[in-house]
Amino acid sequence: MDIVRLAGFASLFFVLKILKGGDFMIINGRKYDFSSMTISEMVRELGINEDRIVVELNYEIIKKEEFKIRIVNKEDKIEIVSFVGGG
Amino acid sequence: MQFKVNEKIVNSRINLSLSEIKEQYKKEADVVILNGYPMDLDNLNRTIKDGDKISLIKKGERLDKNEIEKVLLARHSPEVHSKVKNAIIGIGGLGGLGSNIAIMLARIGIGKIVIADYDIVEPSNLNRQNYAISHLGMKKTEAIIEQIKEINPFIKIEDYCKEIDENNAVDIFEECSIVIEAFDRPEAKANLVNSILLNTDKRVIASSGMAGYFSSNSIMSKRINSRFFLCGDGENEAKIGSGLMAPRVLICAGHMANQTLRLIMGEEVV
Repeated sequence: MDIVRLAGFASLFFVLKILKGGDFMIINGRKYDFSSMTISEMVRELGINEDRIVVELNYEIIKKEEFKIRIVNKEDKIEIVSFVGGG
Repeated sequence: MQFKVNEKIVNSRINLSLSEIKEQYKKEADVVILNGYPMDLDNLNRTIKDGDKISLIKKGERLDKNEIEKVLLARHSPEVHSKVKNAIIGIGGLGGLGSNIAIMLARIGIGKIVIADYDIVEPSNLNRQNYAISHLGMKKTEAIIEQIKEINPFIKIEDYCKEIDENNAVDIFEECSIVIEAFDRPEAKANLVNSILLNTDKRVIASSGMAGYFSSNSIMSKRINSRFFLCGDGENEAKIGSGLMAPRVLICAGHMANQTLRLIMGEEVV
């Protein structure tokens, strides 16, 4: 019974967190529970090769040379276009 | 009575026969087409009716600028034609995507096309790229120029037979309002798109994912932002067991050429 109640609280907490919003990073339209990190760290976390991408951070295209220094935070909106080979 | 001879509107008060029209407009024609049907040259007594379309052709004859212009105007309408004719478009890479896009842009009468590729036509290109056996060993830029001359010799072409990188892309495509990324390697794709977006105010149409024989309908045009458009399925890369093949590569090339045309015409959405 306690486990059921605990699960209930846990899911309530999760729902509240979603309703509250704003403290998720949005990458390509999906929410990620990432904390502050560099763009390089973020793409590594996502398993993406940073030589094959275009990154738009809050509607601004970011230079590749800045990937290692530019910090992404919760509440940021990020678009990553990752190219695959062929043409 | 009104009819068309080689796309030109003709008004006539008297009834004319096909042979009289041939005599008057193109004596030397050896093919006469009436409303889409080829006519017997020995029997051109038929009288023209209101609304008929007559096409008079001399086989092997070079078309002059006015004739090509007339046909494009008639097919595309003056509003579309004038915008397309004034456009300057860049294409980076003349492989499966770039070679086919270059030919499509030439067919619709783009004013000027800037093409860039360092490569030579090889037998392995023939499964999807717009080259023939006669082009093997030629520079891709030269092979494209040769073909465009056969479609519309009045398209201006600027060609660069060299590798494009972040250091020369901006200069090569300086005159262009839209740059089409048609490379093979993902690193080269990302480099060109980043250079154009970061260093110019031009628009870029890029490609990602068109290998194999997956569903045609998975290839889409996407608007990433007001200056960056992406065509492809986004996932199917060229690899062993899933190679690049003409149908899906040409579907993607069609998306890119049409997105180019849409932007030229002021349509800002995909």
